[in-house]
Parts: sequence; structure tokens; C-alpha cells
Amino acid sequence: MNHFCRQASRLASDQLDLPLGLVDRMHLWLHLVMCTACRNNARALQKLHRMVATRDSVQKLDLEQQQRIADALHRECD
Amino acid sequence: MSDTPTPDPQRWLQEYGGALFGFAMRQVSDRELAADLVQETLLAGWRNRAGFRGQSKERTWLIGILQHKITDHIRRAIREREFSSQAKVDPTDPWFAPNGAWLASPSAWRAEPSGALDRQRMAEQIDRCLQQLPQTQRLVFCAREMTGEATSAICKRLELTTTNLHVLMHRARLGLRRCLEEHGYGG
Repeated sequence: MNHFCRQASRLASDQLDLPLGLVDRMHLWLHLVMCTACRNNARALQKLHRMVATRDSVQKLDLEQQQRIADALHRECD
Repeated sequence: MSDTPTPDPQRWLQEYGGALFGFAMRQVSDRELAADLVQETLLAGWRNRAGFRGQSKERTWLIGILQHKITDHIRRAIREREFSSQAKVDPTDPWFAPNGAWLASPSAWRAEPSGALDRQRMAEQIDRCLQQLPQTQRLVFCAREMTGEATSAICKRLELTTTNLHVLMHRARLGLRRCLEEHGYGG
């Protein structure tokens, strides 16, 4: 027997990037009603999508990297 | 007559290095790569200093150069992946049996942490998990999730078909979900 879980996971991910067509939306919805694992997965992917976009992540150049760039600029910009 | 500042890459590094690095990190999530891109940007700015006419701010001009460098880098990574065997392997193989069933059933995710410190820890863990993704997945995922740019615009900018974008995003999301679960978040 073939399972729809692989496609359901793909569709759950796809719809975070583009709206699904009607047929795909119906397929996904019908499958999620029946399949707890795919429901869990779809919700987790949705949460992840939100968490990644809203997280505060401040990344700073460390001193060593800054020095390396300064050295390269010295060598090449005269 | 003009108050255009004298071009000086060392001063650019002091004044804008942090902003450029932060901008690159959001899109590539790789400290070494982001630092290399900042360096290339400052060198390119120096070589093309005659092209800066002061209509825009120096910082905006440098960010424009950096964005080009980032886009070039991602396009190259995508092209290299297409030539390697990676693209021929079904990228969801580690998750599903050949008949399409889950190899390991996903469990329900707990609520997201609400305290500031917990959220900070989670953000750091997301950064670490992002760094573990294969390069092309990470770059495309960050381009899409961190810039808020529309999917159609990203596909055009990165010369990527919608299907390829979907495949890479799906794989990246499953990889991140597993990585976060392994570190006590989510399920």
C-alpha cells in the first residue's frame, strides 16, 4: 500500500512558500484529518517557519575576523 | 563643493563592517563565508571607488555590492549542486520509506518558549542547526526565510525553478525539525 505522507509533508512545506491549488489543498486537508503523524509534522513546520523568521539573532564580526579583513585590505588597497 | 567622504576601505571596515557582516549572516548563516563576503565587498568597493558618486550613502552603496556577492555565491552553489550527484538523490530519502510512509512518526511539538532567555537560547540553537544543513539547502532556506522576499522573486534572483525551491525548502525544514528535536525543542 502506498502512503500519502511523503507528498503531504511536501505540500505542508510548499504552502509556506506559495499558496496551494484547490486540488492539492483538498488532498492535504483530507490526509491531515486522518493522519496524526502528518498533522504533527505540518504543525511543526509551521511553527518552525514562524520561529525562524521572528528570532532575534545578532551576529557580530569577531576581532580575529576583523583583523584578517583589515590585513587583506592593507595588502590589496595601496 | 561636495562632502563625499574620501574612499578608505579601513574606515569602511570600522564603520560598516558590523552592519555588512550582520546583513550577510542573515542570508548565509555561516560566519566564515559571511566574513569572506564582507572582505570581497570592501575590495570590490575599493576597485570601483570611482563608481561611487555620492547619490546614495556609502553604506547603502556597499550593501548593494554585498547583495550582488551573496546572490552570485548562492547561484554558484546551486549550479555546483546540479552538476554533482546530490541532485539525483531523492532528498527526502532519509525520512520516508520507498512506499511514502514515515520512517519515524513525527510527534507533536510543545509550545514555543515564551521567556526572553529561553527564546534567546532557542534562537542560538536554530543558528547552530542551520549551520549543520548542507550548503545549498541552507543558502536557499535563509534567502527565503530571513529576507521576507517573495518566493517568485527569489526563484528569479537565484535562477531556481519553483520545484527546485520547494524540494530544497522541504528538505531543509525536515532537517531543522529533526535537529531542534534532538536538542530538546519541539517534540
